[in-house]
Amino acid sequence: MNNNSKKKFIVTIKVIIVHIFLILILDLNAISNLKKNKNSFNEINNAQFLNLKSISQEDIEEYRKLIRKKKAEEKKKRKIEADRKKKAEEKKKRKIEADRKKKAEEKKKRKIEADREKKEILENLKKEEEIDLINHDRLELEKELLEMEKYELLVRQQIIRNSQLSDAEAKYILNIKSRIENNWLLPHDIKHDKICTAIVNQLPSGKITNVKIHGCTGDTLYVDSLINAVWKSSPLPIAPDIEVFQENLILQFKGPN
Amino acid sequence: MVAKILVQNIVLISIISLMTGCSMTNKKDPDVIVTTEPMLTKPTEGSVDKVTSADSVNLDKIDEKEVTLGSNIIYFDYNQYSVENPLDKKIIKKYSAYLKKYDEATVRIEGHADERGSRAYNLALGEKRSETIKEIMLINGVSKNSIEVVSYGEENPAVMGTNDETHSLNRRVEIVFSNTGK
Amino acid sequence: MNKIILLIALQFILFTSTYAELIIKIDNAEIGALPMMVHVEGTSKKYSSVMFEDIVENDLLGSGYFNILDSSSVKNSLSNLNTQYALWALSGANYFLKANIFDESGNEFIKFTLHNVIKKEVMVSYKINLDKNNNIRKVSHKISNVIFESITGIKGIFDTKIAYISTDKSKKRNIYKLHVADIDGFNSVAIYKSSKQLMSPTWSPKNNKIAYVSFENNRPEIFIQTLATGERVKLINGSLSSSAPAWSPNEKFMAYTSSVNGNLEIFVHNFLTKNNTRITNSLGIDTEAEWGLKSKKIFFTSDRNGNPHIYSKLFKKGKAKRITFDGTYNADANLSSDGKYLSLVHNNGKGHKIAIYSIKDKFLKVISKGRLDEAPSFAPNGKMVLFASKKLHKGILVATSNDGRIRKEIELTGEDVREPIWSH
Repeated sequence: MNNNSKKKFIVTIKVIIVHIFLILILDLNAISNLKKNKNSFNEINNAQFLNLKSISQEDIEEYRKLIRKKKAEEKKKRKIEADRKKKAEEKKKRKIEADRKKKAEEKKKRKIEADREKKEILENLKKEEEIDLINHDRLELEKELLEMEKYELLVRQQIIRNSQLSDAEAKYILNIKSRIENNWLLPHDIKHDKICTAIVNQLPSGKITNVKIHGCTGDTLYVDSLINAVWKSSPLPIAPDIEVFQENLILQFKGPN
Repeated sequence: MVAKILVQNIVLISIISLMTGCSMTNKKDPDVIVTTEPMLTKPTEGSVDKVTSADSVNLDKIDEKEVTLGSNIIYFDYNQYSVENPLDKKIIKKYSAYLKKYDEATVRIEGHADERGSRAYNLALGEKRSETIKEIMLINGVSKNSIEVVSYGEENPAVMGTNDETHSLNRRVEIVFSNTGK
Repeated sequence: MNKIILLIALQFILFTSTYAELIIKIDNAEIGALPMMVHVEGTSKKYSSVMFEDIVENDLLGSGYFNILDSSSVKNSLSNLNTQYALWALSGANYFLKANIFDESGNEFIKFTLHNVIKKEVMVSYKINLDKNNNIRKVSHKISNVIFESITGIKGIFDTKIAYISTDKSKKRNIYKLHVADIDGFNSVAIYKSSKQLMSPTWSPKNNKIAYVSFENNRPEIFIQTLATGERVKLINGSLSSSAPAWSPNEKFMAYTSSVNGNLEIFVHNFLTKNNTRITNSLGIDTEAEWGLKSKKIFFTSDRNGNPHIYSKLFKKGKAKRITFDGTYNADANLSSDGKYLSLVHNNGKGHKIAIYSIKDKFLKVISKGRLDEAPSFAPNGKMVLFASKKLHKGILVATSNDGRIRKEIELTGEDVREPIWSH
């Protein structure tokens, strides 16, 4: 590492030396030029200065006037030039603005035009659709109306049937409820759930095939009393209408307060 | 018959007049009439021979040393052990006075309760009733050593029975002398 | 569009009329005893089947949970099990206990089987060697326990003991006796006899000792008697009165009542240090201490508010808290083994009756019908209460189910009895 940095250092030194060398050369040149100019300037000035010595006071005044005039003219010229420039610029600006506005208006116009066109197309489409609908096959419509009437009739009939069924079902439920309640014997002083559910499977004859108790936390005696109540009630009352029969019954036992 | 009696009288009078000596000279002395001893003797101490409580018939206790201070029973209301009745206070005063007078005398205050309710509570009731009497006696100036307190609870009823009347007769304190101090 | 709506509506109507299940609410039960039949057969020379049957039937009936049906008219040895169950079901029984006494390789056994008639299955079946356990009453009570526990899930108490006091005042001298007997009154043994009053018996937590009050020194004093040896020890030395003993469940303390400055207060005796600490401080009566389950709290009777009521207080610190508010008289509290109920003597104007107070619900229920009922104590399973009553001026003992429905007088011939206490 030491060698490397040493090398770098030497190179840097060399570069610096070269630079200084160059600077010196150029400066010397510049200095000599400057000196030359200064000399020539001095010469001219001297010349003029020499001339001035022999000029009268009037000449000087006139010369001064001339210079002033020249200065004023130049000033004027500069002002006109500035004004002209300014005007040109303003004109340019206005033009740009006008162009821009024009462009915007054109754009807006085009948009409105486009929207209008779109709307027109849509309206046209709509009109076509309506025409389509109107032009739909009248027979089809009549056919549909007929079907709707048929459905309504079916619905009415089903409502009547439902009320018959619901009567039958209510009776069925009541029969099962009272049969089981008559067989439900509870010992005193027993811990029981608020609601305890039993799922009962039965055959259409009313014969019970399975009883399952769900989620009861009361005393064993309590759960036993539910199971006993169900089995003792087999066979359950026959359903008054075959449609009302359910093979799965959910019994919600509510214990006494 | 008449003659015989006459003769006896004359003899009696003669003998007596001889015996009385100078009384013979007082021919105008009246006859001395001999009277017999009375059949009934009045008891020596002041006694009260009357029934004290309206609802009871009490026999005044008379023990061997013939000390009677009248009724020795105080009755209480149901579940209560306070003494309100001035007649009851009078009884206690009498006993207090006696105990102060005869400092060898000691009493046993026996507390009782009627049969209803818890037996252990009735034992406590009897004791509280006795303690109340004891406290009144102490206030009256009786010495602590003269008083013994005991409770029998419902175990020794005065009267057997299960109506209000018999119950009221059993809610009581009896003041009994263990030593009359005489 | 309309067509679609209509179609959907129709489907809905049709659909709702065909559920997969039917839901039925059952909310009306009959509260009563379970119908049970007991049949024991096979009398041998030594063991009478009738005796077994009678004892088991009485046990189960007295518990309040069972209704005993007559089994004598029902055939119960049918070979077809299904038919047998059907027959039992027809006779109205939910359960059938069938037992028989038999000989096996020179030993006599009793085998018993409990049938669940409705489920048509055997619940339990055991056999007992009678030559090794020849006390018929003891074996019968054991069978009752097994049956009771199998069906109810509750611990049976038919083999537990009671203690009580009897009096005989017919002779010139009174005789007081402290007895220990079976719960049905049989096998009664007098463990102490006195001519002076005996009171307030109470069992030690392990049932090996009984503490009671004796007036043998002409004042109430607490004695502790060991059952196995008959040894008697006085609780408090000296001549102080003490009454109403109560053993702490951890056996370290005995609470009792003593008189201080004319007031009755509750004290606690420490068996280890022999110190006596005063617990209550009120004018009047504080007595009848009863411990809480953890040996930290004491229930007691106090009349500090005018009438006797039950209060509770922490043994070591704190103020007394009033427990009962109903009626004009509440005393002699006894805590159930689950710590949830107090049985006590209660009067609300209709005489002194036994009531059960639920500590959590703060609800009092009267369970006895007499007017002179007293001294209640719970069975170890909390399902029955033993108490004293009067019948024709004689003291009797009564066991009742804890809802008061079943009431059974305990037969103790001839004696005037009082203050029964159920063992733990």
